[in-house]
Amino acid sequence: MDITVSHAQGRVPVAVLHVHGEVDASSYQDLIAKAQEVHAAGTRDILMDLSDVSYMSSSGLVALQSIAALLRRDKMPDLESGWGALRAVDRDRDAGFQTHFKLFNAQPRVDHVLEVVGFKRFLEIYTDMEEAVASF
Amino acid sequence: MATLSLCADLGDLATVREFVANIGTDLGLDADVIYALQLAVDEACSNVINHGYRGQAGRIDVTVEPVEEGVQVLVRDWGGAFDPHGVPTPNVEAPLEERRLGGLGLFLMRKVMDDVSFAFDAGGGNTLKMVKRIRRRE
Repeated sequence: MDITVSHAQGRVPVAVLHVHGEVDASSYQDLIAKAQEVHAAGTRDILMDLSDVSYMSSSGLVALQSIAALLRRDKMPDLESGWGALRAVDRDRDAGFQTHFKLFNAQPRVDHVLEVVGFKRFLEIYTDMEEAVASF
Repeated sequence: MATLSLCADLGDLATVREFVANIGTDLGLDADVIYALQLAVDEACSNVINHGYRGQAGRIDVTVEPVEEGVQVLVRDWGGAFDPHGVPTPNVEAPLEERRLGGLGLFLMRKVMDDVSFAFDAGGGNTLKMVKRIRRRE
């Protein structure tokens, strides 16, 4: 498995992690480490590009859950937006939606695994890159 | 019937998946069934390596064979006894932040295979038997 990183600018800067290959118990920690690396460099929003991920085991799901937790810790309301923003944060929290971590273009078999374990209810998966970046 | 013996090493998981894919192709299974078999065997071997042998050296035998109802996979190891009843069922409805990390391997195995059963014998180790039923074309 290889990971490359690109950066996109929407309303906020977004790091795009392009994952290539198979994510299993031997490689999932590299995924977490890369997310930690971009987070340590100041990135607060990550889009994970799964276009080229042909296989993901439950270890990959651990990586997704870990990265979501890493980014959730930085969830701060935009106070300039007033109570509406605070209520939106509460609404997202209630719904369990991950607003700082999203997925892009999961392949059908990986998508099916995400569905089976209930991750798709809480992780948005986009198929249009511009739309994905703009969603943060 | 084909058996692969491997060392308990996470670096060999790709080899196991390739072995399963090759057998599946030889048996004429479709790609979704092969993917299910790969996932189930990968999860089983990962559990054995991480929890059965706890990172110590050990051997795992993976056997794939056609049976009347479809295809059967046997995963044998000689690590610690595995008790599936000790594995909590994950709540896949809960938001991610309310879930414990991990614990989805056995759940996925049961989801993608039709029968999953474990047996332990003090002399013979653990044997995991999984069956994927395949509907025959008329």
